[in-house]
Amino acid sequence: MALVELAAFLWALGDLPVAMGQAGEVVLGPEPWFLLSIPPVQIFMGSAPPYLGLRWHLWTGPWFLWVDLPPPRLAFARCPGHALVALVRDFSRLYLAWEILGFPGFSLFGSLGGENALGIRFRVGELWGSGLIKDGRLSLWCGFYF
Amino acid sequence: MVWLLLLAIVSFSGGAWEITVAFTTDLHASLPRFPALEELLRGADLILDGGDTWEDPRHFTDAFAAWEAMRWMAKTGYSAMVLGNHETYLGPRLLGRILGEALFPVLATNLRADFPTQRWVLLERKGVRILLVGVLWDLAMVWPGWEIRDPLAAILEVLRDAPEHDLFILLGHLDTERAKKLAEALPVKPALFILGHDHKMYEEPLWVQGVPIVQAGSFGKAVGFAVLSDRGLQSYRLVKVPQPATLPGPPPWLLALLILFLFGIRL
Repeated sequence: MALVELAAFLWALGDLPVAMGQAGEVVLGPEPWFLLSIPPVQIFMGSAPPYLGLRWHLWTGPWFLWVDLPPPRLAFARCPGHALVALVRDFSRLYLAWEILGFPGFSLFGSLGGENALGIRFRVGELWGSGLIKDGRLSLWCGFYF
Repeated sequence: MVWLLLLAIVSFSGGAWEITVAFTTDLHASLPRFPALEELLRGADLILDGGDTWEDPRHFTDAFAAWEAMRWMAKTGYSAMVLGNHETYLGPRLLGRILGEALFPVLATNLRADFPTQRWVLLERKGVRILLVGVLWDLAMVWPGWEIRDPLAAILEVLRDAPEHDLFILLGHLDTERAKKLAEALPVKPALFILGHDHKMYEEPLWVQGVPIVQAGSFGKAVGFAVLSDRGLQSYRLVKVPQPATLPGPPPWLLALLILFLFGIRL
């Protein structure tokens, strides 16, 4: 899974370092990556192609809109109740990325449509651990903010 | 005769002050209806709001509407508001910016987040020290890094920490059933409990163990007025507001963008 694809599922995490006044995030897993926030831009650096990614936040609420490069991708999101939902469009696919944050200490997230996946993430302070099922395979991830 | 005299003395000494509270609930950024509310609200000693004021997904409100609603509240002279669940849907960054520029206190007694919300506020009107406390709960978005604590525990902490006061008013953005349980459980009863979230119009206060719970509907359809003295609630009325202005739907540019996004866009 390309690093920016994972970041589409975890889009709230992409926003979070900025929201919390923090500068970035380190993510460990099958493809470790590193996120640096320089609002309104976030820079992703990963261990697999594409090695460098960029997310530009155009709107920051209550409508959320951001552009990812590469691959070129546009996401349009809103927070209805406890859930975050984002319609994500790239060259060939349209999918709905979602995350339900209504539980203390953990959240459920996933994607429907052109990309299907389901995950769960646990949080303790600024640390998190996550399991993601995609294409019938489970991958484990963890990360922290700084 | 002696009893009448005593009653007169008690009445006279107990009615030393009167505070008029005007309040709105669940306005949901209904900007076209604000001018009609303004005339009613002005002149009250306290103007309060029960939350869900800056956002509404049903009318596709945007950041502009949120800013305008906050600025209108400041211009109208709101004394304080409580954060509602819809304010949390603005997202942490936009909400943080709006809170940072709000010219009136925004209460979130039971929210722990890196925000300029306040646990309590002490205001003085006509020499009366008024303690305002505000809690939220149902359907609030708890963004990562936030914590929403039990409203009762948070209020009890505030009551321990807050300075001396003559009048205690509670604002809550909760389901009615939760609000009733909260009113029952509070060892120190507020003189007034302004409730938002349910969009109900209370023609009469809902009394729970001596606590008058009041609510003024939604989308600017009514304004509530309560007169308080040191003997508690003296009078309450709900003034329904004529609704000449319909609320706008989604702006055409947004629909166009959605259609492009879903069916036509090629990056």
